[in-house]
Amino acid sequence: MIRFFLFLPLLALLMGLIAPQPAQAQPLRLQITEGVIEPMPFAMPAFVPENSAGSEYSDRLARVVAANLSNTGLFREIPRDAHIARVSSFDASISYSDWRAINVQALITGAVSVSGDRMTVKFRLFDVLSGQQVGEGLQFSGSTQNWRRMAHKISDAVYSRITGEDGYFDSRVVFISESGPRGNRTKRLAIMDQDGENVQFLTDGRALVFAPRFSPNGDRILYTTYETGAPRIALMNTQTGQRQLVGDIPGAQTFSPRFAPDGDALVFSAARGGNTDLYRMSLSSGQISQLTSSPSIATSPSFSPDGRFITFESDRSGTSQIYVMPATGGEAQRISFGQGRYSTPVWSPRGDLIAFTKSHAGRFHIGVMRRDGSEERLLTASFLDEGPTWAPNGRVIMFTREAQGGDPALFSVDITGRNLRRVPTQGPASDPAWGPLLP
Amino acid sequence: MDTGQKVSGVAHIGLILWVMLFDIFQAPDTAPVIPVTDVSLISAEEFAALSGPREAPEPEPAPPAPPAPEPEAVPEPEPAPTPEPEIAAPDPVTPPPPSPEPEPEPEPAPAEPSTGVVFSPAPTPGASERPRPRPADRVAPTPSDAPPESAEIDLAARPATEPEPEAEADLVEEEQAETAPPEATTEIVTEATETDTEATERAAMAPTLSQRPRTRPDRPAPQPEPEPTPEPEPETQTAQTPPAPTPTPAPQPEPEDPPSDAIADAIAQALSEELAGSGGSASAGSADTGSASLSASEADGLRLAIQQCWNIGVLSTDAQQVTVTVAFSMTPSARHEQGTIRMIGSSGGSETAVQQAFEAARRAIIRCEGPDGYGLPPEKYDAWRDIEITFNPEGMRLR
Repeated sequence: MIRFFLFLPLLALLMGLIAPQPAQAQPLRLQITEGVIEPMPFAMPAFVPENSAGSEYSDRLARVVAANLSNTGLFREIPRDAHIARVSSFDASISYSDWRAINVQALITGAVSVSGDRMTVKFRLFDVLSGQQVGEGLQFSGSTQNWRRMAHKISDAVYSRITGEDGYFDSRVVFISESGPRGNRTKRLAIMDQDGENVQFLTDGRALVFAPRFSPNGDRILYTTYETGAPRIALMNTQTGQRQLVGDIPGAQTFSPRFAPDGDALVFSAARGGNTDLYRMSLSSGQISQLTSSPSIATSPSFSPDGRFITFESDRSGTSQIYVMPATGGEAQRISFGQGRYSTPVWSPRGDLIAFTKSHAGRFHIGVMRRDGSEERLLTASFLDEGPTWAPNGRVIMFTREAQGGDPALFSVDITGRNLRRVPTQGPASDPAWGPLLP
Repeated sequence: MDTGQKVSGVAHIGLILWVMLFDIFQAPDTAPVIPVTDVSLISAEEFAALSGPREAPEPEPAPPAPPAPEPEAVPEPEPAPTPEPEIAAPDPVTPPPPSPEPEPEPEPAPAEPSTGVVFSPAPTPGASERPRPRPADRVAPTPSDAPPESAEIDLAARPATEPEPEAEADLVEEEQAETAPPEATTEIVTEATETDTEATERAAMAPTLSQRPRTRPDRPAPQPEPEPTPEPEPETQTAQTPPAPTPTPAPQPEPEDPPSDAIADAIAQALSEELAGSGGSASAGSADTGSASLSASEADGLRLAIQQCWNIGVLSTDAQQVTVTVAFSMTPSARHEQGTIRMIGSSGGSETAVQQAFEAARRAIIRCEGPDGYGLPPEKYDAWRDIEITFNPEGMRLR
């Protein structure tokens, strides 16, 4: 009996060892399936001039960067009047609390110095909420004449770091600039920055031109011209201005050209004997091959980014619809089955979507769909919307909008359907084609 | 006969007499009053004439006539001054003068006639009039001829004046020529009740996308029955060590479930559905620790606070497809602990997209923390000391 009582403490100790420890508190688990969609507030103080010559550009650079970001609809600039902290030195520490107090989430600081006709621009991006710098600072050098391009480069870097998308600000758009009375319009080929600045005219307006298209690297432009009295395809070098007619098919009218992703081949439409088919031509060899041969209209071809497929519009089913076929020709598969007529399909640079023009119930729409025709979404609705073209990052679409009785103008819209805005141009404009991101 | 019977007999006799005498003589006259109305007789011909279709009423004095769109009267807009090229445009070729221009721009779809006009009922019964077309306030799609010389352009439509019948004879009014507004149109709009500008504005305001309907939340998976938690004692929350969470074997169907379990299941399911229906859900495992657990409303408040700062609009389309699970610790003052926000799981998207999605989640946790933190009950600190949040944008994805 005494042994039993002596054994009790040992038993208790053993029980204590094998007894489970109090469990660690499990975390509180939440699931959030809905958020908000709103522009991110950012601050863009004037660039710090590092010498007296740089002060000329300190404010202009910041204005261009702020405008680029704000025009995306994803960002909202906090006005400089509301800034509490002042950035007097590019290397000065950031007073995050001052920026947090005015609800700034992203802060961009920069500096500029000018020496002769050369300028150096650098910037840093800060996450105000976490009080950290985002990525490394970047520096660009170039001619003072290209100060806007350097602002676009900074915009692209900021945009890419925050959104995860590639930028598109340092790119150009070729379009048709129109002038004169409605019945006798003068149409000139023109090129501009994506924000409507730096407009240059490439033709003099004596011949009707339309449907320009950039080459993949932006050094050439294909377009359709009536300079011979009938539609013909012209190829222009954007650097030298040299121009030549290409894709000549005897007895046929050729139009609606577009480059292949390799930059050597092009695909276009040729109308002959009341029938319009698609043809492919190699610019290096001049060889032309016919891709379609159906007794109907096939036009507006566009390559997939990998060059394996071509999407185009055809009325072979009775109404204008969108089809996809191999890039070497062959059986075409219809992908549009909604109500109305579909036209001008353009493959996204990402390859996942096809933008198109749709007319239904007396209104025109710009929309996107998957390459198999699924998940069709209409982004716009207007009296006349047509001719979509993709930004180089595949996030924004530019197109022509014409109000009833009004002049055509260029508009852009995010592929989410938000942020519809007019692209500023000097006078009426149509037929935009977005070029690649500049090197 | 006793006294009671006498009294009863006298009372009954009195009652009978009262009824016979007073009720007879004072009975109210309840005869209904018949209304009388004078009528007149008409013949069948007169009735037919009355009930037949009426003639069109005399036209009322015409309201100010809508201005007839006269496109030709509209002055052509001044051609915009040709912008001078900033950089001299190369003049590559000298093309021949343009031939008759084949219009490359597609013609807009022919306007469809307006439909859905609601007509007022016929004025007389029995006569079904053909619905009259709605007065067209716009003209045929073909342009009209040139206007007469007298038509002048004015800033606003102004009807021609007509002599008023009551006007004084000696009052001489100066007649005004009928004018047309300068922006009259010759085309019929496709939607009769709205202009293109209105349609554009309305289309811009209208949501072009709709969120996907929420899926029905899954029923809570049958979980092992927790050990009965001791009644919380106000004096202490850790007085008793909870029994070991033994891995409960497959739940055997017990012969009889206590009714409290069924009620608890129903409440748990209702709370789960409520939370899921409002954009998320919450679960906490603090019951095992014996500490007080966060109530559903408290957890929901925390979730809503973070949700309203979770901005996915700035994310790439790829990052909007990513689901990330973020864990962090809280201080007793209900603020997130610096440097503890970390990603513990993700699904979908590239590495870059996952990182962007995590950044958005991290911003949400930091941004919506008020001066007093998240306002969680400090006595339940053990329940929210560590938090895991799954940010799943499935409710925001484009469809």
